[in-house]
Amino acid sequence: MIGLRASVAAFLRLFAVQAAWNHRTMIGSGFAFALAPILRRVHADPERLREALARHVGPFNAHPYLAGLAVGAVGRMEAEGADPAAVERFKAAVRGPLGGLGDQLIWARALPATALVAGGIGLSLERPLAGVLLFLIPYNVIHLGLRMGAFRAGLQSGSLVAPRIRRMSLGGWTSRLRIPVALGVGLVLGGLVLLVRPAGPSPATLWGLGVVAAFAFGAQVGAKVWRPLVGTLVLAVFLISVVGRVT
Amino acid sequence: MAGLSLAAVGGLSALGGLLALDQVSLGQTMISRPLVVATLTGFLLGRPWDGFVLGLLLECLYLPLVYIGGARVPDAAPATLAATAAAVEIGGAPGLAMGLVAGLILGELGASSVGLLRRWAGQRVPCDPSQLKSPAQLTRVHASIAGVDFARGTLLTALGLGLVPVWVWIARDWPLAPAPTLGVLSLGAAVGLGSLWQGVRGRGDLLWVLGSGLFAALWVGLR
Repeated sequence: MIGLRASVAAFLRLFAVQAAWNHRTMIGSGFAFALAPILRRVHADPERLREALARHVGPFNAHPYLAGLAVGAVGRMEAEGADPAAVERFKAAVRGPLGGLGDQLIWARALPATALVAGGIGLSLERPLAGVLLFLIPYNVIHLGLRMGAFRAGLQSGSLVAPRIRRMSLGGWTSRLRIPVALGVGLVLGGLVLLVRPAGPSPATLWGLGVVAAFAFGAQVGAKVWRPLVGTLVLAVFLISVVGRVT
Repeated sequence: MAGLSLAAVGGLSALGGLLALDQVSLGQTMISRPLVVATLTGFLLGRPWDGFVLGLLLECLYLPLVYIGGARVPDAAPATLAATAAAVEIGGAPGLAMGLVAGLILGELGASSVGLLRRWAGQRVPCDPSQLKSPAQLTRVHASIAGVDFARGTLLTALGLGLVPVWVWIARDWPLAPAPTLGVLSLGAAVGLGSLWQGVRGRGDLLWVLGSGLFAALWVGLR
């Protein structure tokens, strides 16, 4: 009913779903922008197409990789002639879960896991390009798999997509990805200890212990340390430069 | 910048603009992450290892920040590109120190410019059904906002590259040897890594995984 061409066009537009991100509608207009090829297929009359699109420009938010699930499902509902009020209720129901699940799975787990494991391996083996490829390839396998899986699930299930979301077990993956994050943190921590090696055995050991102690401090205080940490680092580097000038 | 021609500065600035698009507007394939941008820039300027180390240090500081909705987060890609150029120009451990500082400061400047872009985008997009005149309007609005984002990233990168001589001047009489310089940077990165760990560790059941990673890195690195 929707057709391959319109589906592919909508899927490709999803890569720009956040292009017009703003505080008033968030990805609302991006949602309508991605949905447009499907609506164009459903509504041949230009005025009806404009009206249908206009119903989707309001506020909406979701993780960009999972937004396709809502676009696909709404596209199918529109193609089946669903009541606009039911479509709105569906969008309101999915925006919270699609945002929260995606943020936890991708930003808090998949990204640190792939970046740190790859970075740690690259640092230990002194292979920078291998480190970058080891990050980009697994990350984008997850990224593209999630984008395609979400869009397909939405298109196939329409408003009945909830069981499909449950079967994707995103919460389970979020939990399982803690293991590679922990491995990556360990690898990079070891790499940071190795970075101070040129000092020779004794001072290097002291710096290494300092690095581990700094890690323990960070683990104790958490993300609230971020701004003071950045400020301290900037100040420390400037002070060291000033000392070099003066002495 | 002494070591780069105008054409190279222009090319790197345009690259910074493209990488800035990947952060939010287009793709989000993570080619805009500091680890990738710094290594790529280091590779283009002949020092991939320096770029990689700088990128990883910045990752340790940026990864604890979760990119949710309208959260104000550093604009990493243009900042990292310019910071890596500074690090390569200065060279060695002082270059990494100055590169890290340049990256953090430019990242904050970039975050402010992203805030302005979001406010401007909020005035451009149709917010209710009556404001959408035609389907083409959506395409035009998206293209224009992405275009401004590209220009923003390009200008920010050019500004960062223009500041490279300043970083070189500040680092001219750097007093510390390489090991303590790297030690100071590693301490900062380790605090960032620790704050990321706080959100992952749970009840301490993953400590053995962390320990395995630590020993594997040390074993491979010390061989």
